[in-house]
Amino acid sequence: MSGDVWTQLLSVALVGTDRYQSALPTLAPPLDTLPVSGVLEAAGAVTVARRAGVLPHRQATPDPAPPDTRPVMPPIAARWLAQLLSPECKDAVWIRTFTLIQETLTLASRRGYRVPPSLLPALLDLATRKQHLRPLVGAVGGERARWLASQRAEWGWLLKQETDILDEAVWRDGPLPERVAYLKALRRRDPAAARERLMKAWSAEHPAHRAALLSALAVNLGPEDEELCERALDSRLWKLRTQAAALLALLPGSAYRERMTARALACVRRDAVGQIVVTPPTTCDQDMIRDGVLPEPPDRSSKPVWWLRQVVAHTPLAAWETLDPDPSSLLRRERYGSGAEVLEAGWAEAIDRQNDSVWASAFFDYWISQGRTFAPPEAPVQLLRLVPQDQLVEYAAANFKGGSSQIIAVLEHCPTPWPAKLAEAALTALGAAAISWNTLPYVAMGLDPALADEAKRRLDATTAIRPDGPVSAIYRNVVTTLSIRFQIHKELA
Amino acid sequence: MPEPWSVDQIHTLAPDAASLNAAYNLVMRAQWRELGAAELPSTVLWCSWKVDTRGATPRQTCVDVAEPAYQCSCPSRKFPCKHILALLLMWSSKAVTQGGTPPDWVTEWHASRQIRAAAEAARIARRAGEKPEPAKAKAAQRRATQRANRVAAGITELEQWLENQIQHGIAGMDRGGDAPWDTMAARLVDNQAPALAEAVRRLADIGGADREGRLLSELGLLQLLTRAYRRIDTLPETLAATVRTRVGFPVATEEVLATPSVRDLWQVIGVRETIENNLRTRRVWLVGRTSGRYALVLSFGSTVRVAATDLVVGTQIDADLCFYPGLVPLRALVAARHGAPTVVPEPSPVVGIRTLLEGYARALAADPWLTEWPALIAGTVVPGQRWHLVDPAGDALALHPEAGEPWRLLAASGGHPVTIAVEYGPEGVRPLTYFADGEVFLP
Repeated sequence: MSGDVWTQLLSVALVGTDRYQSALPTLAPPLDTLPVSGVLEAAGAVTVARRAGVLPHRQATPDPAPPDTRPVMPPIAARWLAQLLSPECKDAVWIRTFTLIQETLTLASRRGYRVPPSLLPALLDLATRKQHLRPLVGAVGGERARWLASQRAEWGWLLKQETDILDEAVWRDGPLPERVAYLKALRRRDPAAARERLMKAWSAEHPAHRAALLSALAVNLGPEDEELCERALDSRLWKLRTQAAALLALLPGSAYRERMTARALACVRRDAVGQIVVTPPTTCDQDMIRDGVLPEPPDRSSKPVWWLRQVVAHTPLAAWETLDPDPSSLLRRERYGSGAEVLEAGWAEAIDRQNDSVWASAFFDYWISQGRTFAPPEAPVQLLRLVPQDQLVEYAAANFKGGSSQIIAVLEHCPTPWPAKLAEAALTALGAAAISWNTLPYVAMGLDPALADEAKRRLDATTAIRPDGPVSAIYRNVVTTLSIRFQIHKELA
Repeated sequence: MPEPWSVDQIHTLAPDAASLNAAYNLVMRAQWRELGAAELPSTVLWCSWKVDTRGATPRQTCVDVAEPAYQCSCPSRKFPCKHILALLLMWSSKAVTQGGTPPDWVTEWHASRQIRAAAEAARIARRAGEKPEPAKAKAAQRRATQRANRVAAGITELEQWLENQIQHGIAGMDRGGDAPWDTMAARLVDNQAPALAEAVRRLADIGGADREGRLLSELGLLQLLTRAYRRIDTLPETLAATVRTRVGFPVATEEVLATPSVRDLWQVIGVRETIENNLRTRRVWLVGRTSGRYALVLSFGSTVRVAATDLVVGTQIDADLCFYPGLVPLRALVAARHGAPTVVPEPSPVVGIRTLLEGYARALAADPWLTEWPALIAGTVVPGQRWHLVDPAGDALALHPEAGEPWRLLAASGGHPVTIAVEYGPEGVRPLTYFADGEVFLP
């Protein structure tokens, strides 16, 4: 009954021997002769006995991880990954540790490698913060990562595959983002069933949730969705109307597209000499408001011009063929009339909404030729995603030196590794030490790593910078990153 | 060239996170001018670094992997400095290629180390053969008597203090904040009983669940120690040595080296560092591959300097160890090395949790004040409110509260047993390192 003895000793010790009147608990010899004042000796002896007598307890263990037969990635890449993932290896301003990690994982997953298990916690933590890494981490993590994630709530996202998203209970009781995800997943599999589900629930849904739910219809959008979208246009909520309008504008042959085309062509026409003449709408009637046009401008600008811009932005781009079948030449036609200046912005918005590559390509050329930039509020930078990559490469190669303000935005959308033409332009600029510092990381990550030696040669030959100075160090980082990447590529090739 | 160390092995050498951070900065920015490795015949790595200021001399760093020994010309107070760590990290990811002639400063450093090592060996040999001069021996005798008297006085004070505590009850012991412990600890330092002083000072750190119970345990053990010291002249020599160590009598290195040595293939299985009062204590645990015997190499550094960086976790070395006297000889010195360290392929002997507890119980019977006991366990960890270490027999121990949540260890094991180096104590078990896929990792 050592527990008992210990409890009794502790109660003596707590009050103190001055106030404790009775004797010590019965102890085994030789402790049995100790007076009350000997409580500390007794405690010492019992402590040692308790420590020496510790027995292991029984602990249920979860089922071990199922085996993963894929090979672990080879050692050099694994060591680099371990270094890149260690918390002490913080992003050294521009080195883009993160991009290197992503590249390594991509190469590894392509070759069917898995990562060393010891790196999984760091990777899962990273992907918890950076959502777009999740599929990649799931691929290289394999069974072990799933097993690990099942034991920690923060990593639970890994277990939520599409099959789990398609859980009836999620649709019934889940939070809004998960319900939207459910609907999108169902749309991918069975568009009609998803639409039915939404239509059935429509009147019971909270009005504020409807816009988000409706957005799921963008997946596999078809003519059958028109009815529900038209119903949504009757809502008093502008957010829902504009969401419905965006979908309808994408739907070929929809009544909405015809209505918008008629409105647009009433405002924008070609005159006798082929110039574009603009007359903004005089009123914003109920039908226009229903079709997603906001009657009040966000600032104090002219209301009719504001209406015009929105009409253009919602009009299918195909509508303009009646003015000029070629977007390039249409963009270059002279424009006049009140509100002519907002046509570009309206078109840019329409291109973005309708994901139109032909228009995006024409718009890019036109915009560059005007010396304008892809930055809000003039034109959304995301238009670049629609521009054909050849065109972007062409532009970047021609404008590499010195680094114009939008070269970074363009480089973001160039394919990697960079095509020969762009690579050569970058190497030439490197040799002349004529790359702005914020473009250098793109060079380091964009060039084919096989060019590491060539980059070093160009840099060694340059006379533009002092070889040992701080500027040179910044340039040399490009070479280092390239050679790290070269090693990783070689091993994972 | 020997297999480069793993990233985690290098991390155990870093004096702090900031220097590792700086080292990664150097690696990722490739700030070197010259970088190479050669066999001289032991593997030597070197690097000279770029400097940003014109005219400054470049920093020169070299590492002799065989010892290992490190050298850097930078003025940093930290050791190993960021340059050394960066060079090791580059070596780890195979960015250092063998070949080329080492520059003069590398060969000079290497040669000077060998000369110094030979001189040191000669000095120790000479010392061992020397008989102390009678005058010196007399003086030493006098100092020892003085010290014994002061320690006795300190013990008397401690006994008085312990009696006071128990008379008034330990419930109200912390009413004066940390001051009562600090005063008593300071008195013991004055009386040349540093280990006792440390034990008293640590009472202040006891907190959390069952605070009073743990306090009573520690006070009881202190009481046993004072009683034992009173009778020290009647105790057997080894027990007396244990008691003296617990009180804080120093043992001269020469005295330790004079004891019979134990030769084995010593595997470095784990390192734990504590920093208290600006003193860094590095505890390196070794296990003899053939004898299965445990050894602890203690070294003391400052907050910015890591001491005893020559024992690298996950390596093994054929060496003679000399143990400090005591009933449970654990603390040891490396007396002589027979060859360079190599990477431990698969550490052994590996035991179960029951064997660990039996070993600790046996050791406690000899040294009741022992609070750390090492082992190599085949096992895994189980997450929970409190994490547990579990062996294949299903026996489990709770992890030490400071051990955190070793997710990496769990990931590496996948629920299957892996070899884990642990340090066991009354508060639980701490995983120090684990071995998987032929590499050593930190949990």
